[in-house]
Amino acid sequence: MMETIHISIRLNGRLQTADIAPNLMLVDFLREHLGLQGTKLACDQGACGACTVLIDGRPMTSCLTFAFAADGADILTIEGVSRDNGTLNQVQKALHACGVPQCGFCTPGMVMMMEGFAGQNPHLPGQSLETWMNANLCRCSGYQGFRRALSHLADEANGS
Amino acid sequence: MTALPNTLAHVGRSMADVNGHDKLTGAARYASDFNLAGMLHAKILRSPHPHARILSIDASAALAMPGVAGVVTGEDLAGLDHTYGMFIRDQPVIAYAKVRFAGEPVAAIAAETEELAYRALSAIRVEYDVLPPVSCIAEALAENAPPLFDGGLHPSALQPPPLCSTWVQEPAPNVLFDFSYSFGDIEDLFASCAHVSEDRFTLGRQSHAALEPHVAIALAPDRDHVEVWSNNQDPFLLREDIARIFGLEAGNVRFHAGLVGGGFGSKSYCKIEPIAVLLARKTGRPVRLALTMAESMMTVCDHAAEILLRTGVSATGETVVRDAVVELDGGAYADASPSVAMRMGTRFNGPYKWKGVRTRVRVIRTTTIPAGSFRGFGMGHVTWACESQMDMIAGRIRLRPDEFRARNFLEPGTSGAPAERVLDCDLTEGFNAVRSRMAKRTTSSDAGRGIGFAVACKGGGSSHRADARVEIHPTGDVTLAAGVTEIGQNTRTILTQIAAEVLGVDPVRIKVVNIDTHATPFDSGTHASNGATVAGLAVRDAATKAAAEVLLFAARQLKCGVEELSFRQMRILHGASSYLLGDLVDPQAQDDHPSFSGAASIQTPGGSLFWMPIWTAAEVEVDEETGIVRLTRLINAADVGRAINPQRCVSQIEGAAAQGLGQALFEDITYRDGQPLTATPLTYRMPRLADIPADFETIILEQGRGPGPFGAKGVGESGNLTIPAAIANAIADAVGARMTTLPMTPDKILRAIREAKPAIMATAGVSPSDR
Amino acid sequence: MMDDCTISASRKRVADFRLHRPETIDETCDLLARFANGAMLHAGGIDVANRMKRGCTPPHVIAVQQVAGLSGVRLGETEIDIGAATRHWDIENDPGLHQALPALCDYVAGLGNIRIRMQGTIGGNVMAAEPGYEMLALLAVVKARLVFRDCRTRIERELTIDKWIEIRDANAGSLLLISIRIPRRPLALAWNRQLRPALSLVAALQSDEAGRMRGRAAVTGSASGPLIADLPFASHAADNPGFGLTAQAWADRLPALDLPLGPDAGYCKDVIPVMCRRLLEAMSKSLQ
Repeated sequence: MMETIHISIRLNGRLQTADIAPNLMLVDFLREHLGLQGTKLACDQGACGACTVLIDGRPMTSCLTFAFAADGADILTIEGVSRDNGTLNQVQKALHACGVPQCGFCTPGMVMMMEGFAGQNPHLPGQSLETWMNANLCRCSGYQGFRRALSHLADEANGS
Repeated sequence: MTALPNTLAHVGRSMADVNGHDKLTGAARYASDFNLAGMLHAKILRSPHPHARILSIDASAALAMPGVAGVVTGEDLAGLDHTYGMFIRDQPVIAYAKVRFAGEPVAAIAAETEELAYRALSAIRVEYDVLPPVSCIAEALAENAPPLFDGGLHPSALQPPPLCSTWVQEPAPNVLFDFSYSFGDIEDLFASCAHVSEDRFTLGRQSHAALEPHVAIALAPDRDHVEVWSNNQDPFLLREDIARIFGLEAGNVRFHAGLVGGGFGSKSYCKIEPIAVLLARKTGRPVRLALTMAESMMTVCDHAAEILLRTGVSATGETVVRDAVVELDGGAYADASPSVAMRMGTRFNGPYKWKGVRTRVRVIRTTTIPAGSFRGFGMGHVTWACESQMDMIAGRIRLRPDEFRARNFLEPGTSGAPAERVLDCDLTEGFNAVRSRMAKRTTSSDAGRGIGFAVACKGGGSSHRADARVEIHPTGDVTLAAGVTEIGQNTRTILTQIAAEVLGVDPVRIKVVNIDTHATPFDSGTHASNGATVAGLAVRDAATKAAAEVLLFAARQLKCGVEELSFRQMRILHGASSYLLGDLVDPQAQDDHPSFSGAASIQTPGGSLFWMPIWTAAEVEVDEETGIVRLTRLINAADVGRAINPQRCVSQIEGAAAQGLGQALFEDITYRDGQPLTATPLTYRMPRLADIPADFETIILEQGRGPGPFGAKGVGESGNLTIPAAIANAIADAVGARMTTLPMTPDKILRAIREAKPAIMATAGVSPSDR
Repeated sequence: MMDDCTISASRKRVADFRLHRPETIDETCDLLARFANGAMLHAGGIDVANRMKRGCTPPHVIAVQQVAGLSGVRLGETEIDIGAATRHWDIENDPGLHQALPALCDYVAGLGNIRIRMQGTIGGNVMAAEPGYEMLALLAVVKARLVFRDCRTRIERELTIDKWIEIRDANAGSLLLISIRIPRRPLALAWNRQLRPALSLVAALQSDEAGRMRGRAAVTGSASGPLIADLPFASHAADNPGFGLTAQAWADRLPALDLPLGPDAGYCKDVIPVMCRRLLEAMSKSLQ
């Protein structure tokens, strides 16, 4: 019989505790235990990034992360990204304006990737969001909508 | 960009996806998010062998495990009409007596949790009598090849062959379907040609690899009723399939469909739903069967193929006659292969003029993943061979490839083949657009760089029935119900814009409801780029009728003639007066809260309703020492008739082009010893952002001749068709090496470069020894 | 690793296990010694998750991300010491490392993808021994050493990469990787990842204790570990006609590459010397 592990996380800004089985994957903790189904489960092998969440600000693969490993961490999921009143934030607005999403299954993961980058920048020179986004698959769009959104966001950052 | 003048309010605007907000915030719910209280979780035990007889299945240990509610195997198919397949029904719901591909479902378990279901799978004992695999076309057709089936014909729903063609069902062991097509005096025409080229082409096995795997939740409250939630693209076809398989009244089978996380043809027609239903009926509880993405890739794929193409041209470079012999690797079961074969077999004329075309397409059975419908329905295969060969022929007759094409395009308003719909687009205009844009900025004299073109033309909209219903509520809201599923082509947005335009209302007031086959109007399935056009026509007509109902009502209320009224922005306009619809509705009246609805049904005939042309120019950079190729520029143009939503048209082309790129350079499910090597998301290489050139242009032309609403046509399936050939042509331009096999991986390219070297040097007047 | 299609890999297949979260290296060693080969070490956790999804059932999982002294980049006079549980992301962005060995940071920055680098650790990458993983190849060419604690004897052992590859199959269970030591010498590093995930190449020119330039190349992709070859002699001059021959001789020293998913051995034989030559050219340029 497995012992349960007590974890305490800060989830989308709120304290969340739980007693979980050691073999529970973070993606299932979020989707099934907490009902946060915005994070998607696609490949279940770490190839696609649809399950990307931010752990301590870092984009990570929640289908490869055990829930116990997130103990003590600050977790942000797609549900925590929009403004409190449900309106889209800057990243989401840029995507929406640029023809993203199509089927939408990759989209929460992509948004989290972009949020993670926004959180890191500008502390780390030499990093490029385009390179980061190579980590995530989209089968519908050919990535062009994302490219346009990145360009849009860069223009906004430059004040143009 | 050719654009039609736009005086319309909503059609022609690049409105954002109506579900975009929910998709971006994680609020969107897909079938894989759906839960029913008390549902069991099902998992599948799959055959490790590509070919074997099932001697016994002992699930007793699994059944004894805590939390296991039931197991189904082939034995549970007794009394059922237990096979499915789009036209030839040879695929059992679950393996029956035999397994015919590694990965075929052999048993399925339903348990309280997915974890318990997986554990119980390991406790099922299956005894196999292993048979030799049949891993490729050559093996399937070899003398004494092991037959996958024992002979006899399977039940079929094959349509009579189209004009000029014949077909034979299951004519020989390991041959599922043999389709022939011909017009013109082929051999006479060849004899008259100054140049005849014969070339072979090969295609690998592409996987749809949609991100959301197949999922079905089935509920069987009693023996006569079934309710299913699934991410299938064809809820109405599925209703018929389930009814037939389980011997139920179609009206007692209810399908629910919502947002789908990608389809591309992998979720068309019957797939895993019957297994979920089987378990639901057996256990008496709701059952959720969710595949992993790897399992989805094992469920259906596109056809590997061999094509022998013989083409004759005149002394002055006119296309005269073409003969194609195609062998498609259909995998273990039919799925939609006969339909793919028929589509392919009637379209080898491509976008050019011919005096004669003959084709023979055979679907061969192998012990591999069943091949079915993939975006393009075989036109990608046709285009790979034909557009590659156009360049090869051009080289042999010393014409520039673009010139050779240009002088042979089919004229608008003419028909490319007997009884084929006349061409509704201007191929020359599109080609020139792409040619001139590529010429503008490229200096292809850079070493290792080359440019290639390809043109394709796929038909769409045939034999399709789409119904729609539009309801206008006095509150000012509009409900739109149509049976076309939302798989990422943003069809809901397109239909919303059409209804908004007809009704003159703000699109924000229009809601497209999820599909419930009990309430939603019928649609024959989400494929062949039918959504915008055929469902669009149905929505347009339904909206028009709903508006007419409003005016009839208003005329009664205002005691005037209908012809004096018009309806705009939820207001009834009567001369100088205007009344809000909600105000005209009397809350005290008998029929309180009436809504005004209109329904329409569109049935298109067989044969293409419209043509989707695609013109592509690609520029590549080839590293001659390693064979590594990089796509540096891509230009695609498409005619969409009228762009209901220009952004959506662009998105479809871009997305399809990426799939074409994958097919061109790296996507392939390879086999060794009957086992798939690259059928998982980790091993199957798919395009990522870095693979797509930044210099990627999509041109949407509006040549205005579409049969859809406001002159629209479909655009979903053309963007991938031309990419492989355009790249191959660019590689040939760059380094003189001709690729005839997909995918064009570096090792193949390097080999082709080496083989081409003596020929190049000879043409350049340099002998190898001078180097 | 080839997936068996009988039962799909899934996080729902991950078996039960007993989780241990030691605080010190000693405690970790005690656990490893106690459970011998019945334990899996979880640093970043990527490989533990993947293997258990495929059906591996270790009864014990020892999480080491929080163990004191196992993470961190320490810059010494003559060498750099990186804790085994240091995440790739923290290596690539370490300011001290940027100063001391910027090429190393650049190499790590191209490993896998960002999600892998955020979660995965250098030690995990080394110990997982996956054919496509790149850290061991890099460490081999920069002549790094692996510092282990032998959990049976409690004695520290320092091994060269070559030695580790030789003995690892017999010893993996009882050796706890503590840190990786990289010599701090003038270094030119070049790599080619164009054929990922099938294979990748990395090469280094490094001065030895006597100040002479030595070179090494390594290729990933083989199931038995990175294939490593020493450069017969080094030349800095890119226009030295012997350059191409050097690369060929170098590549000839590499054992044949047999990749289960391709490309075939013939292609590898043709292309690896080309890539070696280009790496040599790049490195020579950077040293000028």
